[in-house]
Amino acid sequence: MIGIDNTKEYFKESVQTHVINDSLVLRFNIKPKKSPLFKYLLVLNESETKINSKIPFFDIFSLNSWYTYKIMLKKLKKLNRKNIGIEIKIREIRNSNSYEVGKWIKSIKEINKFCKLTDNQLIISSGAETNYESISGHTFDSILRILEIEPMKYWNELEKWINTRAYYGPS
Amino acid sequence: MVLRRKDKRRYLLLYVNDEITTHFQDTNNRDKHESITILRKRFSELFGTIELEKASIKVIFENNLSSPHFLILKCNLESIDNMLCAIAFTSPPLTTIKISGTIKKLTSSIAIEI
Repeated sequence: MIGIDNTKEYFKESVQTHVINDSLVLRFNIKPKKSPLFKYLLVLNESETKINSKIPFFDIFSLNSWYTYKIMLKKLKKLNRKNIGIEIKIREIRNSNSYEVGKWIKSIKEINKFCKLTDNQLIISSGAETNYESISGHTFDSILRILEIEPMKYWNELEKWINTRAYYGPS
Repeated sequence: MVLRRKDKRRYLLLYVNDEITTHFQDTNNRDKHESITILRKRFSELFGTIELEKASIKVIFENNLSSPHFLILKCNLESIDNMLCAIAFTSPPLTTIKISGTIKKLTSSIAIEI
């Protein structure tokens, strides 16, 4: 499953559109006025917003730093939105030093526990902005095993979550 | 009971990022050496020097690798998870393209991609 941020071209139909229709999920920061041809999810970034009761509808909350995750989880718990995705990008971890990588690993374990308790979904993504930053499925499985998460269970849960959460056109 | 003489190995085909190659524009594979140094350092920082030695990471230089961006590494099968994690957490990024049990299969896949 691929989530793409750069989405301009996915509003126009092409020859390949019907082939990749369900394997591609677009990521938007705000709800699109025009319906895209693919399923999409609304992503809220930690750095771009403050969590309060007036926060607009979103599907995924993207965490940026390991030292603010406890505060963010408390705020999300207070917000009480069910079935949202909490995203962690490998790109953020890659740019950290080894001490911080350890902190990230610990924080992801705790975020996973939080997600299980509150019926939310942990999303570990590459956060790739270029081709060479992309991460293979095999590597994701290894990272999940390091995080003490069973890969098969994780992928099944994520697939189920995307199928229930991602939608065509504005809801 | 048969005593296994050799540890099982895996060969990894990596793509070395432009950020490394532009810093080390040298035909003597210095860019590749640099990426290995970065990877080994990250591995030992994350999993310790004992695990690094157990992984026995080796660089394989193949004559038919025409692109300077490709790199083949060898490591123990038991350490493959740690190895892939270290690769994923390395900055500048290294990309794992393929994992194989034999070097022949790996090089044939490069021939197709090039």
